[in-house]
Amino acid sequence: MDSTKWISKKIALLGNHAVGKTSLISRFVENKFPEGYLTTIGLKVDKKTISVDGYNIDLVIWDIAGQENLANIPHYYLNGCSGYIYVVDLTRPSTYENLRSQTLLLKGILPEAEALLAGNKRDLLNEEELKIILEDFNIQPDELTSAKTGENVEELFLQLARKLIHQHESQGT
Amino acid sequence: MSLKEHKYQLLNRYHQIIIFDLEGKLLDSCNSMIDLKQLPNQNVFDQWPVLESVRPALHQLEDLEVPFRLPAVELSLPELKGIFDFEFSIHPEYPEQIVWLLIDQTRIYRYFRRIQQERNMLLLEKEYRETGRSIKVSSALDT
Repeated sequence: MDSTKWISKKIALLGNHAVGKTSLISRFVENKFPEGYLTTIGLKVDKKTISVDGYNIDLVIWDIAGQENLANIPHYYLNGCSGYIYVVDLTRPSTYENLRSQTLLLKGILPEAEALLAGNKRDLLNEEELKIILEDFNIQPDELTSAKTGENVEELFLQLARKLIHQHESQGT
Repeated sequence: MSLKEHKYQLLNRYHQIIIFDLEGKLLDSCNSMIDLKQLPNQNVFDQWPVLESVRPALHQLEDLEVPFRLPAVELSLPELKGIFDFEFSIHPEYPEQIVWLLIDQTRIYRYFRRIQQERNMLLLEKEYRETGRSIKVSSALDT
């Protein structure tokens, strides 16, 4: 008998405009990289089922239009969110210079949610530039990703899925 | 064509009413934009991930005085593409049924998108100039 358990979790990708939220989802769900930038209006929802640690987990992924201030996101967009990925564009300081306040705000809105920080557009920086940015701005992304090359994209979502499974098991639901 | 018929046709082009129960079973649809009865899965929660993830809110509709709205949802189904507003309310006669009003707002949101895209592109280019990065930003608008 198959002992694989099925769970479904809503997650959201958040962050400033043009950090690559839609591209990360597109790379993860369809293994495609959209050529050119197209701003997201409102929201787009995708779904992907992955198998990890004895679970089949349906990730229902909400791609929410980029916001400089997360307080502007309607709360019902985030209701029921079990986890989120906050995405920054490593090449643009404006997307991470207010990271601390945005993280605190999110913790207030979604106190129980699992969170990851993704430093995207890794492919646009060399090792030295990357080191300087991470040190100067004191940011510690959980994954350094490139939606363009696919680097660490799968790993990013897998890491969140594992956290969600842990959350699920500790809640006993 | 009478004015009433003309108005009806216009409404029909951009609006669809769908009725389902609390378990997601499709009960009725006017099918003016998408023929839901042709879809292989007749459970709206399985068919539409966005609905699946607002399921708890739909179960609390009775407690709301106004319909639950989900504006600007981008759909890219083979049968239906565009940007839509979703509105959910309890059926006036059958409280165990949910009335889903699907409104095609693609024309309006495309206009907003154009404005937003221009603003975002300008901000991106400005920031790249200020940080001395020679990164070219190409727009995918209308391609």
